[in-house]
Amino acid sequence: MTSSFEPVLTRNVGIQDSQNIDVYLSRGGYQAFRRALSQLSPGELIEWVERSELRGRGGTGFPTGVKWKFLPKDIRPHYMICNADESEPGTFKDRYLMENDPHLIIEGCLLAAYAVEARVCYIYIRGEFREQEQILERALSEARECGFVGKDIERSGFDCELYIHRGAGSYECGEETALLESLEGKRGLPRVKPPYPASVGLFGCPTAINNVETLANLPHIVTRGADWFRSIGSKKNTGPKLYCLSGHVRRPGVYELPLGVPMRELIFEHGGGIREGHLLKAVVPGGPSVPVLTEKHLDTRMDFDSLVAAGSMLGSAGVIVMDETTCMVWTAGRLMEFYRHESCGKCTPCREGTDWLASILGRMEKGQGRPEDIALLSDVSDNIAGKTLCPFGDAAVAPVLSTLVHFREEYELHVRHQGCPVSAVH
Amino acid sequence: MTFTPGNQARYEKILDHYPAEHRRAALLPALWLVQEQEGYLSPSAMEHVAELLEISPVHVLETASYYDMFRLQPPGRHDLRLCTNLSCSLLGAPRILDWLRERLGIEPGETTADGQWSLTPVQCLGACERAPMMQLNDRVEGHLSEEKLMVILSELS
Repeated sequence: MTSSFEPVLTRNVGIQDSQNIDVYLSRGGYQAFRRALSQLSPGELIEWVERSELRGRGGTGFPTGVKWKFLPKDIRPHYMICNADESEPGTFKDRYLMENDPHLIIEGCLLAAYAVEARVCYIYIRGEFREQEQILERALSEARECGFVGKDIERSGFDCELYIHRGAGSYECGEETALLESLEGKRGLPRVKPPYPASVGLFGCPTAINNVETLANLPHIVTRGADWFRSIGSKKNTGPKLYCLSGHVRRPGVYELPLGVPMRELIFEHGGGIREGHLLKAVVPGGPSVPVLTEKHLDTRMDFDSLVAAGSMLGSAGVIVMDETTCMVWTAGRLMEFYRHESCGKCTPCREGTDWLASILGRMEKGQGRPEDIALLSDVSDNIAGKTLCPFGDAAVAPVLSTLVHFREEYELHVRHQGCPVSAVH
Repeated sequence: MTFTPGNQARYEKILDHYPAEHRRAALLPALWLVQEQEGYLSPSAMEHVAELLEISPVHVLETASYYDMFRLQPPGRHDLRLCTNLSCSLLGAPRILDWLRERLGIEPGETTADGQWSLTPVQCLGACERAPMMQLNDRVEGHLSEEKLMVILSELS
């Protein structure tokens, strides 16, 4: 299915000086923005994006055009935010785009700002991405010098300022409302929704927030059209997609493929398969915040709806591959340590529950599991999922609940033999 | 603590990024400037930032203490932040962590007595294709092995 596919999001990767604006311009860069300014009204641009059926690449897959339409017309100012706080484990596609093609991100931000009629756009970048921040800063200066950022851009009457705002190390700040709090100079705790950011967002104003990869699609949608975009993938799951492969695969990395590439093709053709002499055991298809899948799901298409049907989600498309040497109790425990560390502490079920789950998983792995622990894991998880303000709670229990479904006997063996049967074998 | 003239100018430029009535939004960027200048956020530095932004010092501390990358204590000269999340752990991060503990003679979260090395296990740094990896000050070191670490450590010692 991917033989005729032409990568667009990564088309400038590998080109010499791809970060440089002259190179970007020579390859057709900023043409889409110019075209939108001269030929499309903001409303027409939103229609255009809606027709493409572009869905957000940050994790939830919400239709981008629809999201933009929620911003009320009669309340000003509007703000645009690019969410570059990429922190989902196993995910590094936004980093890859920012370091290889920063002007693509800037052009995407400008198009989105134009669509939602925002005069200010913030790029909220995770604190650890210092190098990428500096690359973006340099690109931004170039774009400003060339007149793509600032007042009366290309004599269109459209003013837009772009600022880079650096986070400081907090997974939770990738959640939209926590990001807003952080941008306002506070602890990154989620807000109660509704109201949604589209109506009450940054500084209390209507705000659109989109992921880096989502915005990177916009110049291509404007240049090549909504029909082109819809011709890639399948109905309601359209366009190109960046997949991040890591773990026990031979060729880890970022792969641009049509949305809906079968998991088998992604791992075995593009990723080169499992490391020498080993077999696939489990796959995290979209960052650990989504349920783990197994070999029997290999023919699932890696798109929003197919993965939901298979009992998981596309999430951030951070695909972590594990071979038969990997203990699933250890995996769930390792991930739970992550959620325990990153829980912002606002909602009690998540703050306390992740701590309990990490402790239980830890003692099972150490050979101190109790017979009642398996039921306890389910019980504590049920008291977290759906009981928190943001999706963090649901995410935190995904690894433990899904491994309990697919690898229950491994949990039972840990308790019965008072130790890890997988690490004992290897 | 006060900003150097260069950083004072940068701080004033940063203020222009946010509406005047929401100047607290400049808090994270201001704290980054302090940390770059001083190496960490001392109580007097946080008081200075509070004064500049016209908020109470406890609000600065409340915010600063939430974020993993803001340091409230001076770090070692070489700050090793080793990723221990799943992709890196699958490819040997726990072994690398043990090796570093033994080699540096410190536990995770500690700094060597001579102030040269800090060792912090951290969450995913978004470079999983180079697992196992770490951040060493501002640079990323991937595909870590004991041999590679030996070279890095001896170069910096």
